[in-house]
Amino acid sequence: MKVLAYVMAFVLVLGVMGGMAAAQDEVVLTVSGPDWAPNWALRDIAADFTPVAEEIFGYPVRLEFDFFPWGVYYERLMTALVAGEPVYDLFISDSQWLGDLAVNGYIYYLNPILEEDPELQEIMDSMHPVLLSAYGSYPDGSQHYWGFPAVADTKVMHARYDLLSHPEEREAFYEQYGWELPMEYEDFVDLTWYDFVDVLEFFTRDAGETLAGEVLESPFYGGAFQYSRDYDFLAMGFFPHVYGMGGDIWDRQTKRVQNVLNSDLNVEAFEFYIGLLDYQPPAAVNYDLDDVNEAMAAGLVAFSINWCVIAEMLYDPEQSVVADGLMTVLPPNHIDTDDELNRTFNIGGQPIVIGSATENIDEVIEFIKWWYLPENAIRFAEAGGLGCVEEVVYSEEFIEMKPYHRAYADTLDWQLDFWKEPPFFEMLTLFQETMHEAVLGQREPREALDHVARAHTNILVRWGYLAE
Amino acid sequence: MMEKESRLKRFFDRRLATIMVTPCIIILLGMFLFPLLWSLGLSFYDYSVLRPVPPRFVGFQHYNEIIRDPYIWARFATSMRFVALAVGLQLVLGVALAFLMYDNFKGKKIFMALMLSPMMMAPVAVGAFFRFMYDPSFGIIPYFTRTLFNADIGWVTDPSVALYSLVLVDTWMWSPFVMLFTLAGLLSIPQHLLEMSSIDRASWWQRFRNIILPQIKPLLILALLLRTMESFRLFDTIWVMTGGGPGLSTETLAITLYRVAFQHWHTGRSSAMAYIMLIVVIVLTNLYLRLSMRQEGARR
Repeated sequence: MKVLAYVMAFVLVLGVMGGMAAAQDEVVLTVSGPDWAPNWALRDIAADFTPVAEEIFGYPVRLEFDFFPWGVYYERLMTALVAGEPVYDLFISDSQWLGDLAVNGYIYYLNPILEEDPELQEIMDSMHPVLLSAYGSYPDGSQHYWGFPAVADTKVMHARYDLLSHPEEREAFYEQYGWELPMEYEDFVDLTWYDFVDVLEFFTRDAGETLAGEVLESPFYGGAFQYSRDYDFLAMGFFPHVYGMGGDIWDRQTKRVQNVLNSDLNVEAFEFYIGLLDYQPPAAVNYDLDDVNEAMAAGLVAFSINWCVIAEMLYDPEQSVVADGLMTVLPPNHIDTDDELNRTFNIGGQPIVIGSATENIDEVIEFIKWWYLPENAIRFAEAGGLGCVEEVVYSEEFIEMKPYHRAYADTLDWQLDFWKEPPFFEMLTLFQETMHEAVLGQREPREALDHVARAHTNILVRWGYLAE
Repeated sequence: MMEKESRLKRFFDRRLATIMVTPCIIILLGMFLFPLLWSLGLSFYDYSVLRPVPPRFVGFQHYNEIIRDPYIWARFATSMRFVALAVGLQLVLGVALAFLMYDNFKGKKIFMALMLSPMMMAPVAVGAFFRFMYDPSFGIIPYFTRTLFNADIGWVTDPSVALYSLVLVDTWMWSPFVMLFTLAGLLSIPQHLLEMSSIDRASWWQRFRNIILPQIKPLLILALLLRTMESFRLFDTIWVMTGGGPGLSTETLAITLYRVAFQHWHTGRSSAMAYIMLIVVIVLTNLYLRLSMRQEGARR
């Protein structure tokens, strides 16, 4: 009996030791990112990497995710990087932060890794060039790579097909404006903002008026666009009007801001963007991406322009009362200084970058390679994420997978990115708070743009990007 | 012999006390004094914790720039407006509630527990649910003002209203705090004084001015002092509710300090700003204390 007890104890000790050894062998990759739908999809799919890694390395590799709300993500991530705790092996970075992260040595410079690993190079080469440049390169557009395109995103327009196709509405619109209300995807391809204003005006109605044969209990509005002072929401709403009209936010070669950001053309673009508030709910002055989606999902507006990557909820009947009558199309064009139709928008989306403090670089690289396998790209797209691989985004399977994929694919060639330099956040917060005052009528648009141009110049001089 | 033993005991008692207190003092010095002195040192340097560039000594440059910056003065004005409105309202409501609670009535205990619950809540949670309640599209407060008064008020979207919305939230949360202090003062008034004043047929105002107010004043001033300090450096509720917007209408000094420190990463400049804020709080504290002491002196 005593012998049996000793044997059992020995076996137990062996078991515990074995268990400890196994636990020691497991590698955990910590991943940080903003807390929103595409990253939840990334987290869910990444759970399947563990057994794959076990086959490659002989031990499991598990990914742990640390998500933060968008509004505080930059501060939280930067604080962690400065403090050195926790160590993030991988993190989703906004493309604008690449300069900051690269210059301060917080992320891996990918070029040497790519040179050594043809498989990884092949993955990079397969990306859509616009996305690769926006999410991978710093300086912007250079051949120096710091990030892998991960959560691709562009802005698309959601439209109430049920209203646009309603016979009474179509007839009334034609009577009032003398042209046909756009209804099909193709009708929006050449639509200009100047014509679109008629459509917004037409659908802006008071309580008691009729909409699609029903008396409205509360006001209804033409559209919902982003104007919030938080993060980059106002900038992302306004910049497309600047680019579309033929302007820019700075000289991309010399980084000069004066007389570029505050040009007459940009003042006109800003006045136009503020003017669109006439056709939006009163709360639109504070609308961020979630508010715009909620306005559309609640059936408050006829059109909304928003990031494509969060379109999924609008088509979910449990979250959106307009899910059945919705279509996603290209946003309207401006006519630029060359008299050409121009729908250049500011690109959204984020790269995934490797934290320079990681001690698990081999496991990280294997995860990246696994993540970009075609089957995972499709799973990600099915969960609401958008593709980065050029062949995937233009494939029939992808285009037909979701009602918003066609518009996403068609917008890809119309993208431009904004500041990626290290003082990006200071430039952005200054821009946001000053321009938002103009949105609220507390400053004149020209005065606001002049103020921002002066302040941006000072920041760029202080950082050594411009001579005094 | 007895005296020698007693001396020895006192000596060991003192040694023991020193040994027991030392770790606490070391922790206090390490956690409070060191960061305080370190940040004071940083305020004289041009330094960003984010940049791998050594700090550059600039002396009082940050202090000089901040004091001359009209942007900072505008934020200071916003902070002071918020403090004056919020603390003023809390004072009036808190005193009124204390008088209500001073009387006995049915359900007083339940009412008291309900009254105290707002100040038990986390300010971030309070900010988050008031943000939803003020939401112009689906918030319950705009719904009521629209339905009952036909008034479309942009509680957090109209720059001329947003600060007042924050004042209301802070008042809702902290009036019970002033009430507690006032009630403690009321309960400490000797009953015979009040009875005698009734026999002398003193009016309500005379009783309040000559008996009640002098008794509750020290506690009231302490409550005011604490609330002023708290309101001046309030961050979480404002950050969650408005983030300082719309425009710059609710951007107080505390919000600006956060932006400079953790969004722009100007570590040196933000340290200087923090010290200026500290000086303002100390000045306000001293004003209250002087007022309190002067009243005390006059009473003697």
